[in-house]
Amino acid sequence: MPILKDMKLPSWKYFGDRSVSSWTSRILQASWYIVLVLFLALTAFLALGLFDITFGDPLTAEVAKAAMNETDPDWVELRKMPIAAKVLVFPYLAAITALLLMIVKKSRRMFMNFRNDIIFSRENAVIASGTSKLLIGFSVLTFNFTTLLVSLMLLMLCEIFKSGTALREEQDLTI
Amino acid sequence: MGIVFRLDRVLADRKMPLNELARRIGITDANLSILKTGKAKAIRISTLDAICKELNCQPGELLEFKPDLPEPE
Repeated sequence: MPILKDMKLPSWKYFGDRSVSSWTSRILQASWYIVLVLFLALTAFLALGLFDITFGDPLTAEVAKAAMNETDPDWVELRKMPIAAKVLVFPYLAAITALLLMIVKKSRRMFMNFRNDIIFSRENAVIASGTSKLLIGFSVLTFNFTTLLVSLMLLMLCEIFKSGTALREEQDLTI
Repeated sequence: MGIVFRLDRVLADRKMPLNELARRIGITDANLSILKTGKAKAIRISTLDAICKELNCQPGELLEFKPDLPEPE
């Protein structure tokens, strides 16, 4: 049986330039714009599809036709709802998107710090705490238990960051 | 915390500048300054040993206890 130290394990670089953190921060930066564009597109589609709005041009006519022909049971049920209920979809969607954008932005800031080799800092502890609270809100709004579990784990991680920061500060002031 | 580091007094007695001591014991001026100004949270035995060796003094000459001293920021 091979000894663990002799085994070739893949060595990932997690912090610093050209690392997992660096790539993740870039992906998150792109994701922020993707989420925003998807929200705008979805809002437009819902507005056109739920209220059968057309502006006399081929594009909106096509969207309205597609919305009418869609057979998904949830969509059909949503279309049958009264206007007041349909209108509520938009603030709900806006709230979810706003939370998601804030989560992505905060996470990106933390990964940028990791990329710059700033790991145990007060800023990261504050970001982790804020992100976990936003994730709790997001999981409640989307009824997602997995996200709730992740956010609680992140909340625990935030305490580790706080302890790590305190240790780091003490280490820095030990001469 | 009532512990005061009396490095400035010992250095003045030996007529040695702070940067010279830093160079001799191999730590940065900034770190020695943290020690001198009382901002340090702890001191390594190895650092204390190096300072005592270089200044030919006892740890008791470097450290003083003052009961009513306020906490450093």
